[in-house]
Amino acid sequence: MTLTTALRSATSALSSHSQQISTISRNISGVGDPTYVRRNSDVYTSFFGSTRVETQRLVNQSVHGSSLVANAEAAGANALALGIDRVASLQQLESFAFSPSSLLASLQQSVEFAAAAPSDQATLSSLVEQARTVSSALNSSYDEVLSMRTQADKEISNSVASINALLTQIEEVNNEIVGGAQQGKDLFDSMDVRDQLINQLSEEIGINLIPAANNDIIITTDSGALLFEGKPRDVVFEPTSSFGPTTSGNQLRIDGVVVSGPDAVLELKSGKIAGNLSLRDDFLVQQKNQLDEVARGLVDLFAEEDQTGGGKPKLVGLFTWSGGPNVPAAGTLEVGIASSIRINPVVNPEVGGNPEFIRDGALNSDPDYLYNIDGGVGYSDRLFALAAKFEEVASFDPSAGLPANQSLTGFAASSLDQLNSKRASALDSRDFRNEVANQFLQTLQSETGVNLDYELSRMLEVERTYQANARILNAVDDMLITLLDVAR
Amino acid sequence: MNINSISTLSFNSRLRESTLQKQVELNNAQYEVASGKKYDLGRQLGTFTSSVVSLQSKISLIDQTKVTNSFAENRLQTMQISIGSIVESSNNFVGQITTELTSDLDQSVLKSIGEATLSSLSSALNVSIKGERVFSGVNTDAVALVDYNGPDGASAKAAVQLAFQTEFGFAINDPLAETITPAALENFIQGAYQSLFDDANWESLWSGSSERGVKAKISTSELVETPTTAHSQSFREVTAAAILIVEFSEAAFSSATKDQLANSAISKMAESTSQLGNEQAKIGVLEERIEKANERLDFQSGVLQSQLSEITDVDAYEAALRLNQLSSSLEASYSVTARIQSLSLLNFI
Repeated sequence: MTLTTALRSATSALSSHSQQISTISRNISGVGDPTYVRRNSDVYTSFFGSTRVETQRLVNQSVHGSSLVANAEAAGANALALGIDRVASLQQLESFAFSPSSLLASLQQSVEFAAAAPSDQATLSSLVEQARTVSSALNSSYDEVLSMRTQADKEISNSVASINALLTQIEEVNNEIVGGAQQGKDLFDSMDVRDQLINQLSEEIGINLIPAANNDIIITTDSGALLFEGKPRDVVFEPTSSFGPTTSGNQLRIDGVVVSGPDAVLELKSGKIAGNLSLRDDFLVQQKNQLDEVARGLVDLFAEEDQTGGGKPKLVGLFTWSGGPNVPAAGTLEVGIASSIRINPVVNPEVGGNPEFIRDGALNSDPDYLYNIDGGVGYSDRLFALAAKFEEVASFDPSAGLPANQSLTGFAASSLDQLNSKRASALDSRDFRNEVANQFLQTLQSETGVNLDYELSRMLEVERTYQANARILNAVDDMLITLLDVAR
Repeated sequence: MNINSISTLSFNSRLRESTLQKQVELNNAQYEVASGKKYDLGRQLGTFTSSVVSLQSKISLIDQTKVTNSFAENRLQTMQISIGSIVESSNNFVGQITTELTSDLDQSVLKSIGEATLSSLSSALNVSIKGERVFSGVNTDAVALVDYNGPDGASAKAAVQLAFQTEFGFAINDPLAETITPAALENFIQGAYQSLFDDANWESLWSGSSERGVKAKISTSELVETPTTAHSQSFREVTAAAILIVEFSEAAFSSATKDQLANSAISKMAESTSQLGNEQAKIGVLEERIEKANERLDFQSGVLQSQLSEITDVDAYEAALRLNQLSSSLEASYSVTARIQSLSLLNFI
């Protein structure tokens, strides 16, 4: 060892200290940034006394991967819960007063009231008014379901647009990282950016990350369809501008593979896009079918039968629909009837109709369908029979997802029960998924984020060693001067 | 960095999530305390939600049934009062004619007794509530008894006169009436005259009422029919007795035949009085049934109300306690957050 060696090693230590200080200051600047991953610099001393600094980006790949999965599941559960909650909340107002179940109960009550005062035009007219409330509530609920399907379709299309945009950005950053790794550049900031983009991507669609050489990555969907490898793959979706009763909506394709709907090869499981797909294709379709069945049940309940025993087909009564005066086939879904159901103009006093037809029958002016044969204005048998029919077992289409053989009141009640149990479990699952995602994020941030106290103490440490090395330079300098003085 | 590290960001923000959660819960608890109802019932009930709707609609149906029961009770009370007044006027009829019989029968007095009875009968039977004639059965818009001396009663009057003409060969006001023997008159009253009040003639000449009464649902399951209408035999008898006097009291009968007329009218009227008692009893039974049904409805409504409130209402004490706990734990979380935020090495170097 010579003084010169001491001088050299002190100088090199000074330069490594400044590198460490720069890492520490970069870390401190990232204290408030939730996406910043802490860099760690370690000092290595060579056999010859010179030091070099190696800086690493401390990321926990497995926690990061789990956090992405949890993110996607939370986003999917959020989208689904939002939709279900919206449908349920509309019915929940004023103690469920706007649910088909309550509306039917009020209608039944009006029928019974009319039966108690059958000769009173006012009670019959108020029955017609109540019937109008029911039919227009069905119409508007149906429109609401259709517009929510359009909305979900639009959300899917928005997700697709943002997925494609994110993939393009990821490609750009990834090229920089892979190219830079080959040239040995400091790419930590770029990797932060890439991770942030991937995080955003995981909210739209469930993804898996596969690390590759040179810090390259491959991204697939949670179902295994390839999203990104070197360059983005095509995510293709054709939005539908407006949903009618029979519209089914288009499928989503990734890299040429169908990932949604009944023909899906690799069906998406999570992410906002999967939540909206399930909303559009499952939940809302079932709601639509249930509304159709309630409407069909109502048309059927008030329909008039041939009283002569001649076996003529049933004809519409208080409620009519686009296919009136015929009555839709029993127990079979009649798509779109909830949007075409309305009160029969023949009984509507506002357009010159006569509500007494509800009491007497023969509404379609065929005398074979007359119930009140004697013509007494106090005749109430037909009205009492109608009120009782609400509780009589009828058959419903199984595609509504509810028990097929039950009364109309029972059907509407099970529909309400099913909706609320779906809402409760969707909200619970949303809360749980968010909690999990949050937990992973916390863990990840705890591990990869910056602790200010630690960085400050490191800074003090480096400052002290810097001072010590400077002192050494001073000492060596003094010694050299002393030596030179001796030599003079 | 060692394994137990925590970043400053998550150290500072960890409490934020739980504080937010507590605020949401506090908001819900506040709603529950203020309203006494559970917050977000649908989410708590899930698959039992329809029980709330079902209970609500049952309660409101019971309330409605009580209202319609009051209609029915009103109708029955009106009928009781009407029948009571008919009984009274028929008793007067019998009493007054009997008094007249002891002296020499004055035709004009007799006729006025008949007229008075007929008019009180007609006003009692044609009584209406809100335009519905209670004695007309399901034909609530039809008159229960035609006005005999008015245009509506013209055909009935003609039929009575025609029957007399057919039986004896001359009109009522014909002096030949003197030749009619008491037996012949009695024969006419029991035969041709009586048949004017059979089902077919009653419906075509005298009354627009139906045989069937108005139906009413008096509880959740009981459907009852008003037990009597103007179609019933008792009212026909009263009418027949009164018309007998009104129409024939001024005929030129012999004194014996005149006595026979008065006696026939009395016996017809007396017969109807016991039948009227039966009608009153039937209505009374129904009134009793409605009263019982109302008691049951009140009881049911009470039970359903308490079931509903068990589902939808919160325990006020528990809710208040929870609100207190939440607000104190929120306060604690605030002070801890503030303290933690102030912890930093920076303050010491």
